[in-house]
Amino acid sequence: MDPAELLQKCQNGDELAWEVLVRQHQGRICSIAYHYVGEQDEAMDLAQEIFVRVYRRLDTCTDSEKFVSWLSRIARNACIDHLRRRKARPPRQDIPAEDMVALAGAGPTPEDEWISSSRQRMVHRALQHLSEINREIIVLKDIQGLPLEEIAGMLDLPLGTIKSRSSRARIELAKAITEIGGGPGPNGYGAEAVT
Amino acid sequence: MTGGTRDNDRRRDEGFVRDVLARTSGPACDRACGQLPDLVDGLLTGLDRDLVQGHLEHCAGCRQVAVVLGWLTPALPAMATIDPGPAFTAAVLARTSDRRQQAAALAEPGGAAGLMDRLGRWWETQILRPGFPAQVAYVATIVLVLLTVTPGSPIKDVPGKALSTMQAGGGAIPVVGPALNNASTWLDARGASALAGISADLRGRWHRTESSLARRFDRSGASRTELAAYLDQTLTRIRDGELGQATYELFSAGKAAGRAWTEWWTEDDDDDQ
Repeated sequence: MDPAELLQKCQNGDELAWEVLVRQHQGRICSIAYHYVGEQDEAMDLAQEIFVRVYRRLDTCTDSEKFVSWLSRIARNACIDHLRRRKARPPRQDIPAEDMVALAGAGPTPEDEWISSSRQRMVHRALQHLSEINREIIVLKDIQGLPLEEIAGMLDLPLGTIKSRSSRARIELAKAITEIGGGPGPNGYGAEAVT
Repeated sequence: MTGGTRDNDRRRDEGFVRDVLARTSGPACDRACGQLPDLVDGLLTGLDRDLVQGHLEHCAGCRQVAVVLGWLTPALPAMATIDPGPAFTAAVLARTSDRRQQAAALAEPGGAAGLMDRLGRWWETQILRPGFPAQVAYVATIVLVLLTVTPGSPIKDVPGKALSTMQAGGGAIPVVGPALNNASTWLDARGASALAGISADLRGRWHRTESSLARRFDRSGASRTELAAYLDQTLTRIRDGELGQATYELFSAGKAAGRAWTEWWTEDDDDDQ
């Protein structure tokens, strides 16, 4: 179905079109929420909340070609709001970095089953160790594949900063993965050579 | 030359290079790591590529990062979606359906109602801001300071007076201090009989106060019941997320509180007795 037509129908209150739109984008929204907040249950609730926000603001999306960016921006803002509210609550017990090595070799948890690939699990854990800005860049650019200009607008940073930060964010992520046991070795996941 | 000898030679060379780097430029790992994304993406060519690869041959740490970057680059886009399961869509549709019904019921109120709705939403965003409590405390402090120094303010010079009173002792408190001193002296001078008389007098006063309170309760009963009902409605509206309607109910509660206040303090002939 033509995205512009689908959006138009949603804006006119067509329930079937809205259902299709939700099905089309729920995977993306759940992924963004999960990688921002880090916990499955919270992410699922937050993803629902994001769709409620999207539904209420459908009329403000005027360019169907930029719908994904518009959607991702709403999702990102909702995640940031959620994280701010969570910061205001008493902190939960953080897992020390050294324990992450043990966790990496532990059996699968329900959360682990949600993301089936062991490498993806590893990446998700490592993401939680990145600085906020680097995590955002990885999630928005490398995972969601949003244009750099859109990301610069969302994060309110110059385009050049996003470009230079992007490489550093990937390096930081790779280092975090090696620290929690994802590098090459008997228990690692990286077997391919780079050249 | 045996393999063991070659290994020893290589280790000795490595140690020598590390020592020289430590005494000159420092390790080159930061610079090599900085180029790894370009190497993985195939953007590094010529001498730069040879230099980085040369470093990787001798640096296990950077080699490990490079290998992870190698599989990370194609792995990340594969994480763009996560299947939330079949119940998710139904849950979203149920929640948005509720919103649709609420929106239809409210039918976008215009005029004063719309203004109150917008004010409610604005207030919600304000109180959810993390800096809100600190800002409120900051503004309250400024207002308090201004009130204590502004000419004509009812609490001007209060802090200074309070401080001097505290420094002078309890007897220096205006009206209350001397009264307490007099009462103490008076009580000392009188005996138990005088206290009995006071007790009887106090009992009489208490009875009059009690009956006055009962009349005030009766008089303001309807308004107080109304106030409680409006407050209850306000909480229900807030729980349902209808902040605009909640503001209305709160406004009505304020009016009821005003009526209750007036009825409570309105003096009748009996109250003065």
